[in-house]
Amino acid sequence: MKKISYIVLISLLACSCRKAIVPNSTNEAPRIPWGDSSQNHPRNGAYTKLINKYNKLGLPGISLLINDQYGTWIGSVGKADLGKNIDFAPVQVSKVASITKLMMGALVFDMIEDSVNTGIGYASLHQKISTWLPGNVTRKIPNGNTATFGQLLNHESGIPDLAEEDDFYLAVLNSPNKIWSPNELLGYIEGTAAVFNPGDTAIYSNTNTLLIAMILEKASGKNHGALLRERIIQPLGLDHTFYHPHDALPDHVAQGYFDLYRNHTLLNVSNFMTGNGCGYNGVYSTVTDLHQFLQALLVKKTLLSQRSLDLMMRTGKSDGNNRYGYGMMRKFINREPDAGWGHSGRDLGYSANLFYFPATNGRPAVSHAFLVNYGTDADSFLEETFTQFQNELLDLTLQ
Amino acid sequence: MKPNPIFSCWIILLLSTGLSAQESKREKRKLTHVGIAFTNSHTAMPFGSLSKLITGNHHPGVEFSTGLIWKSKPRHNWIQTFNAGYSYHRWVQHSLLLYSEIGYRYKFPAGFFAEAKLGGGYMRAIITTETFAAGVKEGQQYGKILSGRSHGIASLGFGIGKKIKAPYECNLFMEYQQRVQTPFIQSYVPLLPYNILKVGITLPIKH
Repeated sequence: MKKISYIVLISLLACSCRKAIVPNSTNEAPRIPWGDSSQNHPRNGAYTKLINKYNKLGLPGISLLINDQYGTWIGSVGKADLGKNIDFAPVQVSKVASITKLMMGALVFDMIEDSVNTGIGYASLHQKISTWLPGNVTRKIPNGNTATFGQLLNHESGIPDLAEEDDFYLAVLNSPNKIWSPNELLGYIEGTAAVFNPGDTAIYSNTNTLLIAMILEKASGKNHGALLRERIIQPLGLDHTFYHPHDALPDHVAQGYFDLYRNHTLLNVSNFMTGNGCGYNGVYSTVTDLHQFLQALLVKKTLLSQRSLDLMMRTGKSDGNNRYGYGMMRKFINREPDAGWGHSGRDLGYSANLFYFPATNGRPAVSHAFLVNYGTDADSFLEETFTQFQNELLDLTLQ
Repeated sequence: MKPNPIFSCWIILLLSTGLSAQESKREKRKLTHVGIAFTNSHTAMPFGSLSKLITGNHHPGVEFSTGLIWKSKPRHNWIQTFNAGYSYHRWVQHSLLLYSEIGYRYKFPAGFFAEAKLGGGYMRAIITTETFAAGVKEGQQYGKILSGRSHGIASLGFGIGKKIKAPYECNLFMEYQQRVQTPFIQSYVPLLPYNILKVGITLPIKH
């Protein structure tokens, strides 16, 4: 019996000793990389009041950066780690979730512009994905033999979203901190029906960006995480941006929370990984790095050529209040002409927005980036609070 | 009134226990064995994770059991088990279990047997991830809490085993159990399915 107790104890200890991917946060968030003049911003009071209001209403931590005609305002409120009572810093590293897709879109066009070295060019946008992916992969995927590379980028492929599959969530619950391989993830849509014929309409699917990552690797012979670092993160000096698990995470990442059991409690779900590092998710960053990326991509236009940008911003069919260009999201189209270019990010315990609103009808251009360490993609008591925060932010910044 | 699944499972468990006690009195039916089993459980669609239970993640648990025979024939038995257990699912929950099963056991030559069992009972889940609630700690918006939740469980198990006579009389068995925890998330995820592999031993109770 002693032996049996010993075996039980050892197996329990073995399981509890596995390392957390996102350990408890430390109080070492980076500093604002420029002389901060937010206190002198004419809307300082309004922006501060806004984030304080929504922190009081329940969002655990918020960092917000707004760039408008008066300059750049940055602020934060709440906690990055509720357990350790660590403040959510203005330059807090937090998960940006699907903003990863915008970076992947930029990477695609950066590689297209360097077609001699990368194996993909503008013509690739119209080629079928079977040009790069082998038959044993495309056969598994609904529309795998008909969808084009471009249709992956603007979500017109009709390929089902693996993140909509119950089996996938059961597997995430079973192995929360598992690092998934692309082929394992594709297994969750194997045998399912296509959502629509390629080009018929547009419906957002995480699987599209997973396949884009696979194609970039096939075409270039390089790991797409290394390509993202080499072509986007490093050249732009995004020093606090990490593409996990290709990059190790620092120890000051914000914890992510969600009311998983719908009983008005917040669970720390930081270590529930829904496919980090497979193209559609996995970037952790700060609002300052996101701002720098958006400036280079859309404002100063130093990252890509105008031809590439025009393609990224040529939107197709609408998907609710969103339209998609090649790797770019046009969100809030119900607010036209105040719709934004960029991407939103929603994961189990994290939410983020990164949008640029070009000048229209006398309103100067505005961009904003925010990170919230609460998941708002599923039904919960803070979902409506988050929607109100987003709407109030838009109303305030697009006056 | 809406039927409460936890309450229903308790009723099934209590009724079956009560009936078996009554029946035991009438026919002097007695508990036949005590047992211990080690378990590995995966959240997966029913029958979706048999091989991965051996090669994949380990969510260990232990179950203690006893039981009785309702009807014994040369080739088969009708049986009932009573089980209490614990399992640990990292990042998700500690689980304390109490459930009973009714089953059919077919006896093959040379001490081999196969059985199928249907069960129901109660699970107390203690959340293992950090959990916070508003207004429980002065000066802080959210305070840490220990969160426990009650669930009903239902199970369907298929097992094989062998009776050993020497050096000690015992049954060695292996069981592939499908279990649902309900509700997992109220009105959102009503059922959480598990695939469970149990390997264990039962020792006869000498009366």
